[in-house]
Amino acid sequence: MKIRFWGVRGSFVAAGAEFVRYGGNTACVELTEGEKRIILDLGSGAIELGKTLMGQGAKRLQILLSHTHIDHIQGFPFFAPVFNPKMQIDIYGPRGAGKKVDHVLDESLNPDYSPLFSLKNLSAKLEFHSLGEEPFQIHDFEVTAASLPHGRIESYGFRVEGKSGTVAYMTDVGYPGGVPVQAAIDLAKEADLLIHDTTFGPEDWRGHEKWGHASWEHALSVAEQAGTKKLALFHHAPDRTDDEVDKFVALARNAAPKGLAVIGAMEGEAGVVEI
Amino acid sequence: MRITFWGVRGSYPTPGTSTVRYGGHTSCVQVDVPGRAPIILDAGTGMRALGRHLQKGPLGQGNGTVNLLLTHLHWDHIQGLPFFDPVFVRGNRLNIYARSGRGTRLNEAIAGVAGDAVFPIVFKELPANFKFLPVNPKEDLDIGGVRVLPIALNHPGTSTGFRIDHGKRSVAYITDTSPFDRIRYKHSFAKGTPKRLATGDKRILEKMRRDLVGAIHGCDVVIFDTTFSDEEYEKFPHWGHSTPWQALEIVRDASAKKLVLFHHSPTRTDEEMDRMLADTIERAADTGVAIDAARQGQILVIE
Repeated sequence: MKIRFWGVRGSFVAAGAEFVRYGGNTACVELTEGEKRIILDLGSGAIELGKTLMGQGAKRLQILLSHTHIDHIQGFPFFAPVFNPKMQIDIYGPRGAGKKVDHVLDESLNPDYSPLFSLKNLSAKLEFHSLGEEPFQIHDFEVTAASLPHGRIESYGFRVEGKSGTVAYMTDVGYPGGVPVQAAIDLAKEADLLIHDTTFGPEDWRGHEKWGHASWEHALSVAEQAGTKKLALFHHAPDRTDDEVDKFVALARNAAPKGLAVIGAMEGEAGVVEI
Repeated sequence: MRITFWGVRGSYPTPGTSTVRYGGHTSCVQVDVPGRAPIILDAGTGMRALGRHLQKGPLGQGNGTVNLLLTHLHWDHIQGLPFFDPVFVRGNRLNIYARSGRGTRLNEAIAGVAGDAVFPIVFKELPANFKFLPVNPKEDLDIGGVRVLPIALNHPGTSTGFRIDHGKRSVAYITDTSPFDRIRYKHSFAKGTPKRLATGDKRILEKMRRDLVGAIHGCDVVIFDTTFSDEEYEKFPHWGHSTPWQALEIVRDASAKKLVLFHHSPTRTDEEMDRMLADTIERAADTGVAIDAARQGQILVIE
């Protein structure tokens, strides 16, 4: 399985020379096994992914949304495949604050906020699915979703098992008391790669316990208890410069248990992970 | 009068190596007049850094006021608002001036920007004091002793430009707008331009253009939506944006002194921006209008 990061930033886009190496776009990750593909979240990184997909003749896309906070859906109205009448797009998402995902996306396109006015004006055939706890199949991938704590709403973590390996994706997540919940550890069980929210370091997490985000210490703890092989630090804080992300990666590597590789998720070809 | 550009990009933010010089953040411009609370034009993603900056002054102490003028509520013009640090400080005052495109109450439309499905904190829980002030084109506002004139623009869901006057100095902020010839936006989705413009619409558009030219007459600086190249405009005339040439014609007709290209297309690289600027300077040679292109972090002082 090939994992490509199109957006690695959390909360807010980071535009500037000090963010160009890891990248400033918000969350979007592409998993592929041959021609089979799953897309995780539609942050601003999805815009560039959309342009790339248009040149590849894909007819059907499957997208998993962790939740509907703006940094995870802001790429949606600029995601080129939604304007292609030959495209079918399946969007799996949670109920954001009690509202179904299609309702939230439709509201985000209302005439106040967007020239698109409504989901109805998108040319692609869109199908929406509410996430539950039952595992389901997309192509040959087996997908398990689990609700994780994220401030006052739920955010879904995903486990995607392919033919060649398993990826777990959990962003955004904040563990009460800093103790990882069992659902997160179960999703990451012996995964080849765990992509985990590391908005904070151990020091700055204190004082932000209720923000619904994790520190790299929490991510290490999930990886260790789950027996994960590799950890990608993800959802970098919007002010975290490239050099500071390097530092986070070095600190996490030092603290990591034996046998766990640690990387910082990075946009573009340079950040591709193969498992 | 001092103008600071915090976000200059249109439609969506564009981080990355190809936009470092002109900047990747969306619309947000600060206008300062000595001794007055800052006026902020639009709340795009550039507003987050502006908030950090303003926190060093009275706003950091919960003792400040900001007057925010919104052209319209499309995401690229509002998504910085919930990330603007001064809204998290009790005691600060934010006066928000705008029109709501579909008749929604302004406070409800703005609150939707931080609804709990899309943002971790609900708008009404933000500690700062908000005041919502609906504006109407041609109705002058007195904002803390500064004169502001709202101007009707031609954009899906409507948009409002602003002319700001203080003493003998003036700046106009004209974004987002289509030129006034091929399409007149109404309250429905625009899939394309009409084959033939109805006579009534044509007349209304001509009047809108005359009113705009009149409103920005003699301005020192006009910041104008120049999203498109000529070729791009021909492909997407219904998207509600203009070209540098269309902007230049209006600014020239208004005998304004300087045109600042703004709301750069998200696909435009720094090198392409350099070329667009050079090309516009060349085209403007006989008009007497000075040309610049807005860059994130740039400060323009009108002496």
